[in-house]
Amino acid sequence: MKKSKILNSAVLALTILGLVFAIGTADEEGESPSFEQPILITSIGQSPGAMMAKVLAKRVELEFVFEPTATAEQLEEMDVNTVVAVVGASGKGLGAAGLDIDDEISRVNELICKANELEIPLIVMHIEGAQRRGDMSNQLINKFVPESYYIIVQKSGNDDGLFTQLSDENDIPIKQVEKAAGAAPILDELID
Amino acid sequence: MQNIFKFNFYRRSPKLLLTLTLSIVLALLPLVTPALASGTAEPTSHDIRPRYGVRDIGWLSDYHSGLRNTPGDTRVYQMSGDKQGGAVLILGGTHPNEVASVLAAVLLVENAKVSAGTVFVIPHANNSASSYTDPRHDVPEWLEFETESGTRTFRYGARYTNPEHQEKDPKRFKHYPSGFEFKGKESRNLNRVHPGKKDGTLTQQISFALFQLVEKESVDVVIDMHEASPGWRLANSLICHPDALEIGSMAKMDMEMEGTDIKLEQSQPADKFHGLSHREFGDNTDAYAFLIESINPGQGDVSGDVKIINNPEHPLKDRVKFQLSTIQYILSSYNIMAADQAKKIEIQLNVDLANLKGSGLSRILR
Ligand SMILES: [Zn+2]
Repeated sequence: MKKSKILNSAVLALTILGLVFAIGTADEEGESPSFEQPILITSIGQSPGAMMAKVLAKRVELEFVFEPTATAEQLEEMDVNTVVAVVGASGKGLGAAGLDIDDEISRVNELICKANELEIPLIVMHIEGAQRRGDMSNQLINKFVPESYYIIVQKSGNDDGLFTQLSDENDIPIKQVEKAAGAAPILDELID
Repeated sequence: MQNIFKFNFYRRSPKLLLTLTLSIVLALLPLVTPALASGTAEPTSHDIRPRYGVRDIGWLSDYHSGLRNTPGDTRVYQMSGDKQGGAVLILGGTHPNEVASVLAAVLLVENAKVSAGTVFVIPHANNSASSYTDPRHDVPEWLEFETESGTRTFRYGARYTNPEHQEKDPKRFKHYPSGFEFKGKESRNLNRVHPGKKDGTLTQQISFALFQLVEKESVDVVIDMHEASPGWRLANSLICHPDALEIGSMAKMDMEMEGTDIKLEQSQPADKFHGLSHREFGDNTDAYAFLIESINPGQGDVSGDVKIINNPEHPLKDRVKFQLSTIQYILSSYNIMAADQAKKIEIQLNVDLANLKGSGLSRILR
């Protein structure tokens, strides 16, 4: 009697555990693909955010290629399994790369098309806070965040809820971090 | 004498002061100008009280003799540690009206100790521009601090080289060597003439001497301190030469962890803009080049009695703290990033930046 009760409880517990696990897995699979190394770190808008992501990737020892102006052709040649694109527009950065905003939009467009074709998932990050939320940045955010499979945003950059809204509308998981450095452990956890 | 005279009268009657100053300047002009033109003027000296952290005090003209006996010459404070290491050049007073840059440099000279490497500090990079206060701006001529050793005063200098110290501005100023054009008065803006010119104007020669220093002393990091008006896009920012952006990124994120927000930018491309320190030191020397901007309520659209030291929103102590802590974070990031560990640079500030109370700076000035 006693024995079977314990057994029943154990079975019940295992069943519940299994259910929870199954839901968890199904949930994850439904929302995002698996992200694997090596990663390409690129920019959408040429702000210093991409360089910040490079520093973070080094900190958690991710294997990466850093190419803020990566093109579709370059992606084809690269041996990467995930694209991490850091969004933020900088006139100075674009100028330094010899690009204007339209060049940048078409480069990123082609890059994302190629990534989809090669089944390489895209993570979009915004880690420079409110100060990197001008008109030009907003244009890029609205255009490219919906193409991503995961969003990481620094809180003050999402004060108006734009990233949350894009996440809701497009069913993309989102992780909000207080400080840019907080994106490092998220990347580490997310990417195998 | 003249300075002390001005200073005493300033508070009571700015109008009287202006009239007096103008009359004195006008009266002396015919006498002064030929002397300056012949290159025998003494550089302005300032009240700076170094401690043992300073190993050597030289002149900028030690690196370019053309500056000797000109109002563009200035003191170079060399601080070095027991441990060998890399070298950093820290510039205050490139624009002497950006007073936090001057005070931050003075505090380094008066309080800091270098434990590894060599630190060159120039508190008045454009010393000619620190010889006068621009009469068009409604700002105090002198900043006053009541310290344990009595009242100490620091000049609220100007943005541009003293017009009396340089030939008349050209209609358009052609940057050397690029040929890029600016308004004429920018020929007197130290942060538009880099990398300078050996036989150029006084301002170009100051710049040339700074580049000679960086070359001769094998400087690894150049940090140029500035301030901007509260509304300016680049207020509270760190601008990095592209080669220095990774160090800057690390510094920014570490500062953020400590609770200080700083905007990160990179230099404009070399074909778009010329003459800025972060661009030109980065392009023309082996150094990593940075420019820091804090916020000065005395700049921009100033009306009435603007408080420079005890401004409620942007007190000077906070701006000085911002400059010094950014320098510390740049150097700690540089130390991690620099491939050669024998090139480390370590500064002990010996100032409790977090707990500056009241007017704050009075207590740490000697
Ligand atoms: Zn400035």
